[in-house]
Amino acid sequence: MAFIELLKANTRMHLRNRNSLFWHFAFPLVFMVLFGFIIGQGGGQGPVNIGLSGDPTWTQHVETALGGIEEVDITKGEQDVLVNGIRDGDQHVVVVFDSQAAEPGQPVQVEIFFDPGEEMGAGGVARTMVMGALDGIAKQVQGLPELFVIEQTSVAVEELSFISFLMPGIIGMSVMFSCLFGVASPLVTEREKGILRQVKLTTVPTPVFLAAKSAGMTVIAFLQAFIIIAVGIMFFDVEISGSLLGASVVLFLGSLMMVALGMLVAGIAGRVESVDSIANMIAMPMMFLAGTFFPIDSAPSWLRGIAEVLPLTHLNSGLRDTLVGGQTLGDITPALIAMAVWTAVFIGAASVRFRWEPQKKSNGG
Amino acid sequence: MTSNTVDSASTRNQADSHGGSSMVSVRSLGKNYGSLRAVDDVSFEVARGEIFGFLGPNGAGKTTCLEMMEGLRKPDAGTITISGIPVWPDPAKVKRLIGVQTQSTAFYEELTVQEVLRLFGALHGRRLSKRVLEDLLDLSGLAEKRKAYTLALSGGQKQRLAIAIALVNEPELVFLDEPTTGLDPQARRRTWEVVKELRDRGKTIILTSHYMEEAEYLCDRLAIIDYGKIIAMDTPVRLVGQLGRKARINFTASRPIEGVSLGLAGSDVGAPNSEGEQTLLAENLDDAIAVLLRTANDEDIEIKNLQVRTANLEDVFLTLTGKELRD
Repeated sequence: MAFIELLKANTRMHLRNRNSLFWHFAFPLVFMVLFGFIIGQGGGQGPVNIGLSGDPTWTQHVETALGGIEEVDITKGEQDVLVNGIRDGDQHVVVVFDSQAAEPGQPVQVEIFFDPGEEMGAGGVARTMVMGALDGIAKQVQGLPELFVIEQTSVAVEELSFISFLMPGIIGMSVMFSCLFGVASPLVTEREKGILRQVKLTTVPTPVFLAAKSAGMTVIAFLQAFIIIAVGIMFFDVEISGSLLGASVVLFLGSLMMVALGMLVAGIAGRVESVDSIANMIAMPMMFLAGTFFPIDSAPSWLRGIAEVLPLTHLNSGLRDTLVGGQTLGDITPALIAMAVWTAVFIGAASVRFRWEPQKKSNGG
Repeated sequence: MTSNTVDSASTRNQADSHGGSSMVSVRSLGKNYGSLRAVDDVSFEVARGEIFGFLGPNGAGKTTCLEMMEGLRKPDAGTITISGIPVWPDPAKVKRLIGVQTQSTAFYEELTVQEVLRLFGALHGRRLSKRVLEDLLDLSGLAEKRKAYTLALSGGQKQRLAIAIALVNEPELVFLDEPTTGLDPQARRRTWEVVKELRDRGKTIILTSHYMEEAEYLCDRLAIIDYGKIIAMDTPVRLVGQLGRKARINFTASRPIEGVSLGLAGSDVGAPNSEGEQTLLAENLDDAIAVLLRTANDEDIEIKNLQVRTANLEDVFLTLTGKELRD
C-alpha cells in the first residue's frame, strides 16, 4: 500500500511540476523536431537523381526528354553500379533498357529500379518523371502507347532513414535525463529539507520507498516513449518495425538503470548545488558518445571502445533494434544483459552511499 | 525503579517515583560530538498523559536528546525505554508508538495537504479513513486548506501540518521539536491550542522550546537544560516558587549603581546595557526596593524608568546559569 501511494504521489509531483514537465516531454520533442527538419528533411529538397543504363538509343531519348529540367541530374552507366547507387542514396530511380535491339514494332523491355522508402520524397518524383517521359517517347517515336513493357523492381534499402535512426535515440536520451535528474535532484532536496527524515520516522522499509521512486520514473519513461513515437509516426513518417514487447522490456530496464545511477549521484552529491553539475558531467558526454543523434563509426577506435560499454549505448541500441530495426526480444539479449549489469553496479554503489541525513550535522537545540 | 505502587492521584506529576506508569524512562543518557559533550548524563521519567518540556537555549542539547529518543540518533551512553520497550539498538520497535514533528517543516511541495496526510498514513502502513482524515484536518485547523498545495501554506499552517503528520499513526507519545519557533504570537497561540487538545485526548507529549511563556503555559513538568545537562526539573510553578520573593527590577540610573554598594545579600545588579538600563535580580522585593531608593538618595543618583516584575522561568534560568535564555 505504501508502494502504491508513493508511486501515485511521485507521478503526481512530476506531472504537476511545470519545470519537470518541460524537461520530460517538451525538451525531447524540441530536439526531435529540430534535428528532424534540419537534417532529416533536408535531402528531399535537393535534385532528383536518375540513372540510365542499357540500349543507348532509348537512354538518349530519356535524357533528351528530362535533361532540360533544372532539378534533374542524369547519370549514365553500368546497371549494377547505378542500382547500388540507390542503396547508397546516390540515385533515386534507375531505368534499364533491354540492350538487345527489339524488332521494329515489337515492345521494348524496360526495368525500373526504385526505393519504396523514398516514395514520399525525391524517389517518388523521379519515378513519376520517368514514367511520364517513357509515355511521351512512346507516342512521339512510334505512335504506339504500348512500346515499352515496364517492369518495376523495388530495391530494399537497409539503411534507416535519419529520423528513424534519431527517434529511438531521442527516447533513450530523454529516459536518461528524466530518470537521472528526476531522482537525483529530488532525493538531495528531500534530504536537505528534512523530508527524508520524516520518511525515516515512518515504518516504510527503505527498499519500498526507493522502489516506488523508481517506478514513478518508469511511468514517466513510458509516457515519454509513447509521445515521441506518436509524434514520429504522425509527423515524420517513422515506420515501427520490430517488437513492442522488446522495446517495453528495454524501456523498463533502461529506466531502472538510469534511476539507480540517479540514486548513486544523489549519494555522491553533498549539497543540492552540486547534484546537477555531477549529473550533467555524466549525462552530457554519454548523450553524444552513445549514438543518440548520429552513429559514431568515424570516431577513433579507443573512443568507440568507451562508447560501446556506456549504459546509454545499450539503451539506445536496444530501443533502435526493437522499434525500427525489426528485431525481437531474443535478438537484443546482449544489450539487456549489459543494462542489467550496469543496474546491479549502480544499485550496489548507491546503497553504500545512501544517506537519510544531510551532510552538515545538525547538533543544535 | 524500586516502587511500583500506583498512587493514582500522583501519577501525573510524580512520574519519577512510579516507573510502572512511565511512558518514557531515560537513564544516564549521553552523546558526544568529538570532544563536545552534547548530552551529559541525562535521566528523567515522563508519565502517561503528561506534557514534558525541555527548556534551554539554542545548542543546549534539546534536539539531540529528542533525536535519540525518536531513534534517529544513536546514544553513546545510557538507556531509553518507551512504554517499556528499549529504543536502542532497534528503534523500529517503537516507531508505531511515537509520532514526531521534526524541526523542518518542508513537505512535498506539489502535493496537497490531504494528499500529504494520506501519503504519510500509507508510509505507516495505514489507509486513513475519511473519519481519521477529517479529524486530523479539524484538529490542525487545516480543513479549509485540505486541497491547498503545501507550498502555499503559511508558517503556522506548516507547523500544524507537521503536527498532523506526527499523528497519522495514532501514536501514544508525540514529540514536538520547537513547534512554534519563528511564528507570530497569534499563530503560536493557535499551535498551543492544538497541543492542549492533544493532551486532552490523552497523548503523552514531549516538546522542546526556548520560549519561556510557551513552556510555562503548556508543560506539566519541565527540564531546564544547559550545556547538555539537566540543571533543574519540576513543574513550572514550583520552579518559579523556588525563587521565593525574588523579583526583577529594571531601572535607569544617572550614574551606574554598583551591586556591592547596595549591601543586599543574594542580590545582584548587572552592569548597564547599551541603553543604560540596569537589572537588579532581588532575593526579596520589598528589601531591594527600599535599599535601592535609599542608596540612590544617599549618593545623589537619579533613578528613572523603575520597573518591577515578579520572577518567572526566565529568571529561574538566569539564576541557575547566570545567563539569559535568549541571547
